[in-house]
Amino acid sequence: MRRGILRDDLPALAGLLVPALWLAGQDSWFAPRLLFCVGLVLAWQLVFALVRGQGMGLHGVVSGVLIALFVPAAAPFWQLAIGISFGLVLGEAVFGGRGRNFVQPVVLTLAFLAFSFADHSWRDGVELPLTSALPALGLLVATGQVRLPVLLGLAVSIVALALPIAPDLLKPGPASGALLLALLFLTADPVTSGATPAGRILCGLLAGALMVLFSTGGPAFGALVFATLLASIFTPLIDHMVAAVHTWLMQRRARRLRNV
Amino acid sequence: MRFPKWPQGLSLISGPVEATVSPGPLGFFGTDLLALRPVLSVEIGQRVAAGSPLFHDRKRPWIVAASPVSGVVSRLDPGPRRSIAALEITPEGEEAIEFDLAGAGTREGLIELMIGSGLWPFIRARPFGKVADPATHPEALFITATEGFDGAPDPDAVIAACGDWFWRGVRALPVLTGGATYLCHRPGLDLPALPDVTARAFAGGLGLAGAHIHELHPVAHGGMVWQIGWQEVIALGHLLETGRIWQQRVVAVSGPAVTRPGLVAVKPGSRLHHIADGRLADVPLRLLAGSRETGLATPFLAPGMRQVTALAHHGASMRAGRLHRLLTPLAAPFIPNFWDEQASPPGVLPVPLLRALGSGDVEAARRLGVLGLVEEDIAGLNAHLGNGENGGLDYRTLLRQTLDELEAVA
Repeated sequence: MRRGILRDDLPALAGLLVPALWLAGQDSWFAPRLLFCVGLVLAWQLVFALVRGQGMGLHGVVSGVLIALFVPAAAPFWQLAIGISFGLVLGEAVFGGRGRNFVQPVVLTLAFLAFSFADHSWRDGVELPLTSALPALGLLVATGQVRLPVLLGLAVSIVALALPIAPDLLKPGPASGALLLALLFLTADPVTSGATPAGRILCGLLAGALMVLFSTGGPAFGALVFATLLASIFTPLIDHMVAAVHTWLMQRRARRLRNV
Repeated sequence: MRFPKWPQGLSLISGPVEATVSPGPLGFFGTDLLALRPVLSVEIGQRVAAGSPLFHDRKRPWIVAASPVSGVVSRLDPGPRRSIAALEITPEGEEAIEFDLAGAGTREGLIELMIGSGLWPFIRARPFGKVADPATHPEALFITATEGFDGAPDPDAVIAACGDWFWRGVRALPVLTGGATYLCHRPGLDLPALPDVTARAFAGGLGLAGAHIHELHPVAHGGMVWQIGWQEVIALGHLLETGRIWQQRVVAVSGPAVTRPGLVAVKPGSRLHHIADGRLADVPLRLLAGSRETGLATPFLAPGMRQVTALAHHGASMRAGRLHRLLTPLAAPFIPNFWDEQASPPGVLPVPLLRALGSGDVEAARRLGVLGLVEEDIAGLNAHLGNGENGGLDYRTLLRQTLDELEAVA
């Protein structure tokens, strides 16, 4: 199966369909918020595409839907506009678009909103049942976008650390669907979650450990967002070290096989 | 668009070899060999015998092109910078040069024989994938009797059909190297006794010489090896057996637009349309010399090509609109994906390597093992990423540029 909209963007959107329909039934402002977020994301991408004379992908739609899903129902649109503009432009567009960024733009948006506007509960996450996120899990893993090493590292470090530090984290709560979606789309984003097999495991371990640590002082969803932000900043360094080790191993192997 | 499939064994073409005669001239292009500066040995209208030299390279006199048939040089067009734009030979008569085989048992004698008969350019050296310099001594020699792409001819079937020639060639080659000679074959090939040759079986996905070299004698971090393909070994065996060059190659015709896939024995330089004659579906199609991943859109069968692929041709009308241009990222970066990375060559980290190639970071690419690769090794990966079409990068071209830069400072 080749790279393209049919493999990369449509399955991600299909995975978000169930949570979006669920939220649309709960919250009458969800539909306008969705249109606003997607429209603003695409508008920024269009501006950069036109200025650069380049095309833009369709993945901005996924980013817009994710932002609309994860913000609280009472979020004012002007705050969303500032947050999206900051996250999308400084997190992705200035680097040359998706694939060249090193932080997930949605993560940067949510972190910016949580830092800047304390009057809303950005860190709580929306209430979504866990089952609504399961189609996304299946679709993203089957299309190769979410890598099992990242999920494995996350699961290991969350379970191993949460048992002694924060046992409440492991109980399914009202926001566990949103947590799983954030794990899949934000923490395990293929661009920012490590480029080497070992780097992906380490990235997952780091993000999970940071999440458990942060969740001792606040809601789990906010902890995951900030843990992902911090882990993705360290991921290029981890990949660099993994590549250096790989080179060293390959050189040693070559010397052994060539008998020199 | 197909459902993701787990990488499996290759589908190779076997069965009886049909002989076809290509009516009309055989064609050769100066661009077939990398960076060639030819010095011509023939002129237009001259009669040539099978095996007589047509031209050689000015700087590297061991690159000699020999006529595969006897005939008359019917077309000779000069190209830019003293290259040859087109050279055609109209077959006529049955003359063939008788080569002197007396010295073929020694390294110098075999090299001289292979250079004179035009077989030497098929020995490629790694790193860099250029024609081997006979003055150098490789650490190992790899004979590749496997195939790496779907729709290639089944080497076992052709080796069996060609009788003893292949084994004659294999036995002659170890004098070229002071080190090991590896015969990399498919599992199940019947091996006779081969002194000085180490035979290794490689299954399924490990069909390319790059995979064998990585497995047995990696050159990504120093060292140099030579490689030769199985049809050229058959040609060498034929030359050593009869004293004349092998005037044929066995080519597999396959692809989605082929109604009757099969093996064809043709003369090198035949027109692709003549090779595939009678086997094509009645749809708009394009013919490639090579596989879907590596194919070249040339009118004639390029030297060293073992398959002809017919792809259905889709019109460009859907793809030309403004909306499509807006939605297609230009020079799209590589977004890591599990299914893409399955096509990666062994022994490299695909994502960092492709990022280094895409950004022109030559030094990082060298550390990541680019010296062990040539274009065909990343052709499968490149095909997953769009083969340079539709806004994507062509990583084969980027790999060649990177190797050229590394060779310049080596």
